[in-house]
Amino acid sequence: MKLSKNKQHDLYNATVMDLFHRSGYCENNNKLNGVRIECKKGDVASGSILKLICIIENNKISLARYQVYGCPYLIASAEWLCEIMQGKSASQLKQLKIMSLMKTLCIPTERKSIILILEDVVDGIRLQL
Amino acid sequence: MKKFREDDPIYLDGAASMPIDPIVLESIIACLEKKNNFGNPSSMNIMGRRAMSRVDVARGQLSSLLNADADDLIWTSGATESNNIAIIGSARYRVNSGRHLVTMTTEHKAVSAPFDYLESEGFEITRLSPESNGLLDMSELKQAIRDDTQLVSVMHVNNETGITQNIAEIADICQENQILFHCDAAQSVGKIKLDLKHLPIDLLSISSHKIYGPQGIGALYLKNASRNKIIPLMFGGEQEKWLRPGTLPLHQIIGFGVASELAASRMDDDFKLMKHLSSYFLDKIKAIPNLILNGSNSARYPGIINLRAPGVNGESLLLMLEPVCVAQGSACNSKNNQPSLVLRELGLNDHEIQSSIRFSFTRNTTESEIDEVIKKYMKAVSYLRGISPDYH
Repeated sequence: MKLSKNKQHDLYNATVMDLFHRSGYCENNNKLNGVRIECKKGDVASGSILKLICIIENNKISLARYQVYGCPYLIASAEWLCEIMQGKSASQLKQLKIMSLMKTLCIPTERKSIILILEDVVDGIRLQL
Repeated sequence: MKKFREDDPIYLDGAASMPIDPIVLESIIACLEKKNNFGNPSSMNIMGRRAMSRVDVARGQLSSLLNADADDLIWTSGATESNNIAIIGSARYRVNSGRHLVTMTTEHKAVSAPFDYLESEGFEITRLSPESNGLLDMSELKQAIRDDTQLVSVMHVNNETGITQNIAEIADICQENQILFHCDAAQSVGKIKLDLKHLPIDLLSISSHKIYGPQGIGALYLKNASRNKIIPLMFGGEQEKWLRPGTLPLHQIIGFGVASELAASRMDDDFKLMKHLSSYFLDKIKAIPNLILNGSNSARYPGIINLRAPGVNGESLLLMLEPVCVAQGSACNSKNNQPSLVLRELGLNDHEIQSSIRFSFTRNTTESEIDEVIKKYMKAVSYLRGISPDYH
């Protein structure tokens, strides 16, 4: 018997699980060298905080790392974001379709605020580039 | 010492559901496999009568566990249904003698939701907050009681924190004031001795799967069931004294009966084991800095531990701990992503609630499992604190 496509029995899809456990871009030793820009959004009260730390070379992001406090969707989103931001210029960052993560990660509608935090952080980085 | 594989599940979520006892399972399979054993217990023919005699045996096993009259037990689908029948059914029956009901803010949703519903029918509900240790202040209960109060409902062991209310004292207060007392004992029956011949409890909700029995079956104890009246919530048959219609699920009832008998014989040993595991766990966990036990330690059923790890999101912690099975709040509340009301009532803010996780043991839990869980927990907490922008 096949389940309906909309029926999601696992809370997190395979992409979330992969990104969450990969944690390749998380920053926990603060030893990044180079021209550095940062942006932190979210707060303790909402249960979500995301800080992006980027190293800049030739007006492009050469390295992106994150620090995060929040649910698995936010951690997975941060991982995805860092991967995709590397090598991008300000104008390219503007083209990022962060909202598409809602679908990719099957983020529940009631957690849409995660996307808003991501958009704010990317904007904050872009404006410093 | 046992070696654990990465994907070996370790189950520390007994408060959500206990693993079925092998002896219970055997009794259920035997019931389902046995030839000519599918009779409807309500049928008058020989197979029906045989089935009913087995239902009566199970009723006797449960009544022995509680030292209650077997005639005062009504089979239900579980504690949630028992709570609904007890609260809504008795309030509606006594509507002319009063519309005031008293409960606590830390009750399980299966109790708080029926009270919310009764409010929409015009009943007035007083919801008492616990003290900071999670316990009910008896003077507040006495003050809350009015001339038109007809029912008090307080749970015995809290499913999220293990905090154990003094139900003997609450029952005495209710008896003195001639008020019905209902107790949701889903987490305590079979684990803490309850003597219903001596405790003046009028209504008690019981669950099978919390005592190593099958899911989908429970019971409601209704003191003097023949005299104490409640209005049924469902109609369609005269089973269970007209209070709960529907064909009795024979194999589940048999399993529940066997689980009750086992619980009675193992209660002392089980409780000693829970105390030992709790001390062992709390002692080992001291190696992790800045952890806080939620709720009172002195009035806590030892099989449930609710721990807060500041700087850590509980949901991410849960996922990092997999395949260790633990919980964040009540299983019955896990889909709505709302912070636990029980922990909020203990004075925790949303942030602190998000950092809390419940560990609950079973009689199969071992020290080496706890060692493994603590190892994973330590690693996960340290990692999540390490990547947090604000925790230093």
